[in-house]
Amino acid sequence: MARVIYVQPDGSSTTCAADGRSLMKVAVENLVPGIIGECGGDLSCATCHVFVDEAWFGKLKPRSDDEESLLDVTSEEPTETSRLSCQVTLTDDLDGIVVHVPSTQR
Amino acid sequence: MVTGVETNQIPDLTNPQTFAAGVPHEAFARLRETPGFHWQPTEIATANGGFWAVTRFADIVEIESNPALFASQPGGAWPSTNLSPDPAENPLYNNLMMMDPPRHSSVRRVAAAAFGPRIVKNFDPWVREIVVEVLERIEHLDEFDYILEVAQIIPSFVIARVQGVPAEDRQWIVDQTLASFEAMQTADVNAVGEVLHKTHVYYREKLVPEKLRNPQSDMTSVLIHAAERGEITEAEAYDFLNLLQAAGFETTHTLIGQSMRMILESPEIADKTFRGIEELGPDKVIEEFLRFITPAMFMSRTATQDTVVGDQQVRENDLLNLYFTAANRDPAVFANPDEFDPWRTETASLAFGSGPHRCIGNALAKLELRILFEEMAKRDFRFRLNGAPQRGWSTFINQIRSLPVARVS
Repeated sequence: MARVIYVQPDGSSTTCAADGRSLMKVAVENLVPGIIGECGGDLSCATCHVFVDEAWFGKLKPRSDDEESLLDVTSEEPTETSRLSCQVTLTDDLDGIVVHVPSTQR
Repeated sequence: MVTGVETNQIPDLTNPQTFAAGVPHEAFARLRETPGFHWQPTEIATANGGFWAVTRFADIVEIESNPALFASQPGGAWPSTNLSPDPAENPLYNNLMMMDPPRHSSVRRVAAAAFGPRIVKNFDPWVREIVVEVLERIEHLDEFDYILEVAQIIPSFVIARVQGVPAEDRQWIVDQTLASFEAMQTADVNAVGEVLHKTHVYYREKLVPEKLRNPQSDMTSVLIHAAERGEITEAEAYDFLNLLQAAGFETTHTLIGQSMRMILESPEIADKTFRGIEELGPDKVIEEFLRFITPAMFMSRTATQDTVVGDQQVRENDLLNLYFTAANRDPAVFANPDEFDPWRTETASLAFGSGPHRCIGNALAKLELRILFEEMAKRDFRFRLNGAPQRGWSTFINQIRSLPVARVS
């Protein structure tokens, strides 16, 4: 099991433990506010945007072109460390990963 | 299969008469409580002589999350179902609602890029212009039909603007949309094909050349450039434009019309609406209207193999109608489900469906109603009922055809 920490804009956080599922699925299953995952992980809605903590960003596989183009339309402007959480799989080497949830994605 | 006295008394879900006086919520409540699914026989547009009526929230979410087992290609909404997988025999082959991954994913991604949350937020100023134009027109009317003057006009103008259709063609394209929507309710694929052909000619000969000369940030420009890059086909682009019109018009006009009917018919709902907007902001109130009204009452899926779902054995090619309108009052999910309560804290409803086919225009629909509420409040518009509201004649949409009102302020 690996853990993921979702940090809300007000600083409060939720820690969840899971294996091999996407950060979006884990968030939705644990009712983490601000991660909607409207399309269910089909990479076609841009409602599971997160800002990955800088220390962790480098450990992730690079974004695909489709993910890049959807980041253009998320509710909040993306940054260098933005990801769609449906595209990040929670594996053991990511144990403890910290992601920040955008304030306007509600 | 489940049989019994209770399910035998379920009214015919294929007959619009069943929905003429209102959604049969009492019958749906009995179906939700009965194990398995209810079999509704019909020879129309089914491979196996009927469809399963699925009414529980969790079962619908499970079915919609598994397109490999429950496909959309044979048809997204009965009676536009039992369609051929051969494009030559199926005029709806390029309709996004009738696609499965990976084809669905590629078309939807293009559409999402023009319809994503940050894009729709930027629609606010021009949607407001349209709403203000409509309200300024009714300002001088003492008595009018709210459906004709408000509920129909706002979404049709909004969608025409999203498509990039010039103002002089707006009414024509709305008329074609209504015609194709009517045709889709009859399971007559040739009639559907004829209307779609007319719109394709318009897109090919007029709208697309105009957008190629003068590209803008509208959906038509986005789609034709995606088609030029080979991400989608030309037919997929055109049929997405048609779907946009049909889906964006019919359901949003139902939401706008039915929400006003509820406010006018029930002082309690009116009070909760106004207090809710003040205390919670408009979004929660709109979510509750969406749950309560559920404009598109169901969508359909077809089983791709024998399987068991919701404790029900279903066969390959069995059609399942997923009744969102029933699931949105499932007491397993919503406390006091028949009560209008904007303060409720439960999860989002299934008004827009779930999974890969969840309504792509949901943010726009909510934006239209929010701006309408805001602009009416600014003007302190108040109405009273001025005659009996008339429902539509449909097994699919929770339609309202007429809502006579008179201004009281």
